[in-house]
Amino acid sequence: MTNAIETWDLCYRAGKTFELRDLALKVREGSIYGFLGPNGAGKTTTIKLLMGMLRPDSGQIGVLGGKVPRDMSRILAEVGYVPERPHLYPFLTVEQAINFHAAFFAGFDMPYAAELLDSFNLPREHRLSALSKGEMGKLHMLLVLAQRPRLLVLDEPTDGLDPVVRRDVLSALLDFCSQGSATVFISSHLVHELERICDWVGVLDRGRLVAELPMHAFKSGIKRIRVENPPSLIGDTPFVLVARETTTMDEIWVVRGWQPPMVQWFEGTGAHVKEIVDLDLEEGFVELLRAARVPAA
Amino acid sequence: MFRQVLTQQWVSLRSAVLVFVVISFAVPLLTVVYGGGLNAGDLARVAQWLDSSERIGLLIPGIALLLGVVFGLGVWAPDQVGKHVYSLALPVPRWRYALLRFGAGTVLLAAPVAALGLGSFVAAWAVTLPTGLHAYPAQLTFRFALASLVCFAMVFALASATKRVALWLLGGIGGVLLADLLLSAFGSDAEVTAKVITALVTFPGPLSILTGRWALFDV
Amino acid sequence: MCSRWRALFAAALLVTPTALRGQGGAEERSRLRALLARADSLWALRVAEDSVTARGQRTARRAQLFPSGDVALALWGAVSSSEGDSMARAASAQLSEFGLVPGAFTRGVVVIQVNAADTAALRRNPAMGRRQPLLLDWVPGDPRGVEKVVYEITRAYARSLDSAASVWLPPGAGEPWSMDRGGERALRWLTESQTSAGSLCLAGDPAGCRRALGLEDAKNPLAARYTAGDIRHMLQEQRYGSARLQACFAGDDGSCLRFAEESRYAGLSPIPASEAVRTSVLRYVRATRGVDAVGRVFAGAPALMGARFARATGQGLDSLVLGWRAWVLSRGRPGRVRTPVGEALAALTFSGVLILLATRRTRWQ
Repeated sequence: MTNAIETWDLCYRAGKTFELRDLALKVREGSIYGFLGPNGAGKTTTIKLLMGMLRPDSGQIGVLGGKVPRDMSRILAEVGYVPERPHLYPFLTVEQAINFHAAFFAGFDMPYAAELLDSFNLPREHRLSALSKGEMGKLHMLLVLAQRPRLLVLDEPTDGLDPVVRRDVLSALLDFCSQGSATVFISSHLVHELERICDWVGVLDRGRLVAELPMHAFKSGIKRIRVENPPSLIGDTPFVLVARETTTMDEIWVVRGWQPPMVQWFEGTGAHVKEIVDLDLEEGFVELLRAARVPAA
Repeated sequence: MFRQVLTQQWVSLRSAVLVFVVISFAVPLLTVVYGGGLNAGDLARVAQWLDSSERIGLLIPGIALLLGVVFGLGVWAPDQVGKHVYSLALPVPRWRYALLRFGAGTVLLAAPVAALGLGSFVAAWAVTLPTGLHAYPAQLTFRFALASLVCFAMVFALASATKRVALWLLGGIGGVLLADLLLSAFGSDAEVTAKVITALVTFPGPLSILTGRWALFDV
Repeated sequence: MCSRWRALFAAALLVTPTALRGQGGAEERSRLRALLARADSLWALRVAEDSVTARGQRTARRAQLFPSGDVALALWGAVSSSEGDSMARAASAQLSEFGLVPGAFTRGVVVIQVNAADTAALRRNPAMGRRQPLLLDWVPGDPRGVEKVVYEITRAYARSLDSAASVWLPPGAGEPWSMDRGGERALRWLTESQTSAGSLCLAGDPAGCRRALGLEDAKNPLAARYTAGDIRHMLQEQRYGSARLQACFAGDDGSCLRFAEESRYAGLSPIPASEAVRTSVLRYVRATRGVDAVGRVFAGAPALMGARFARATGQGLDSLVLGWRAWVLSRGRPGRVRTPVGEALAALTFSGVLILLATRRTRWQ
């Protein structure tokens, strides 16, 4: 399996406070990769580095088999990019904007664009300055999908959009993905939104990649366990201990990679599992971040 | 690709293009209107005619300069508002993209240049010149085209630069002015600023095309 | 040879202010003899110094002070002798290049820097010989020094001629005007002329050209060369209140002419064409007939100017003036109305360089 995106020891510093350190992303080809992180984690910066808009301080970036920035023109011909703050030319009409964009991409699918234009209900003759935020978001998605790219890079594409528009945009995205084997790299801080569409997830926090794993493992494997009489020393565990917190009577353990038979390990140490709580993606995400910032004892 | 860039720039700048077309067409005709017309027998009014032609002609390099500024900034303005994010995501190298923009801008420049040419030829045709006077519509148009091109290229290059380059440039200008100030404070008459300006506007300086005679009618 | 050198050298030595200020004739001659003796001894020794001092008075470099064949300059002691020498050589070269002033005349003058008290003494000094002194207001380092010398000598030559030639000859004829500049001035006069003769010349009438250039016989120049309308137009700024002038403005053509004559031409030149235009005629003759032809115009027996030009060029006067007119019309256009190739190339080159700067290959924001 090849990687659509891969970075090696990627480092970038902006100013005195922000730094991307030793970023090692691996986005498998054909996957829908959710790039999670709180505000200010460095998601947009990472995407700009992938798109060749920023120069890294060190490390390498590979996209679709090419190197950034050496093979940039070839890479960009196969990448559909929706930036965090999209800016098309406001004085163009919708139709003119589509024609302008199509001129730069040899594989632009005009019939598909027309189809999306109808399904998104976008007015052809309206200037872009007259479009609402939702319509603009849909137009951007239309442009990148009609490119028929091998890789979609979407930086918070539904940010600020109302639920109806978000649903339309994500539906179109899923529809597109189902038609071929395109790779999608989508960043967002809206965890619940990515939960529905992504099959891989990477979590970025303060410039570091704290987790990168399949979505099902992320969703199903994170548990909050109430442990009575926990062992003081912990050796090898069959699960990944993410966090450990002491309450008045018990300990609360957050673990990853949990399987039901692992209860026996607690019994082997003399501890007793009183409660196992499933965490949803958002709760799991929060726990991951918490653990990344304060390592487990 | 070029056609789309040209279309995009035309939509963005068409108001400015139309304004400059009207102005460029009108200025040569002002020579005829302002001079009150001249016939072959009006030998006594030749001096007045030439004087008005020369004074009105001075508007033309000003128009070329303004054209360069408006177009040079205008072709980059849509990208600069979006911090070039959209254009940098297009699968063309930046140098090629800049050439596309410059080429499209040059095509748009042709409209005011052609308008000036048309106005000059109409003005020359409308007047019967006495012996010894000539009309220079082709020369005037050619000179205007070159002057507009140089001004457009200059502002285009400045507008395409990064903030750092712009700061360097401003710093350089500030440095020249400061050097002049310090030298004069120490009693030197080096006049650095005047020398720099002279170097720019006299041959082979880049702005030398803007100087010289711009009269449509002359001896 | 030796005596000529001594005489010439003595003239140079005598320009020092100390030597000339307030001395009587006998004392002066005595001082001169002493200086000459010193100069001879130095010449014998072939002293290669820039200046020598005799009795506390600085003198110019002796060996190159008055090169044979060149115009002589008498300069104050504070002036660098090499500057004076180079100026003298340049002025002589220019005069001979233009061919107007004969070399014999040039060698017969001494151009003297003006200083009223000392200049008078110098002019009285017998060492001046038979040279004609010409006074020139000139300061060291004057960038137009050569042109001023040429101008003075040409003016002196004009005065030496008969009245017709001396009035016609423009003193600035030998100055190093560029052909284009001179041609442009002539063309501007021709096209903007306020006189009917000039307008007719522009229209191609040879009689108009002859009148405008002052080449025909004219016992009464004003009447021959100007119309009443010309005079009325040129005098319109004058408001002396004279009855004759008022009558002129009221439409009495005769009054205009009489007023101009009685008021010593009232500021009008007897020749409508300006000095610049007349210079262009000489330049036309030089360009088409050679340097010798220019000299021939004023050499020889006195005659009217038209006859002089015909004699010198070997062509009819009408043919001459029409040829001059065509020459001025073709050469007089100022170059800057056209776009020189160099400027066009510079513009295109700079545009190309600027575009290269704009198309930086990096993708970084």
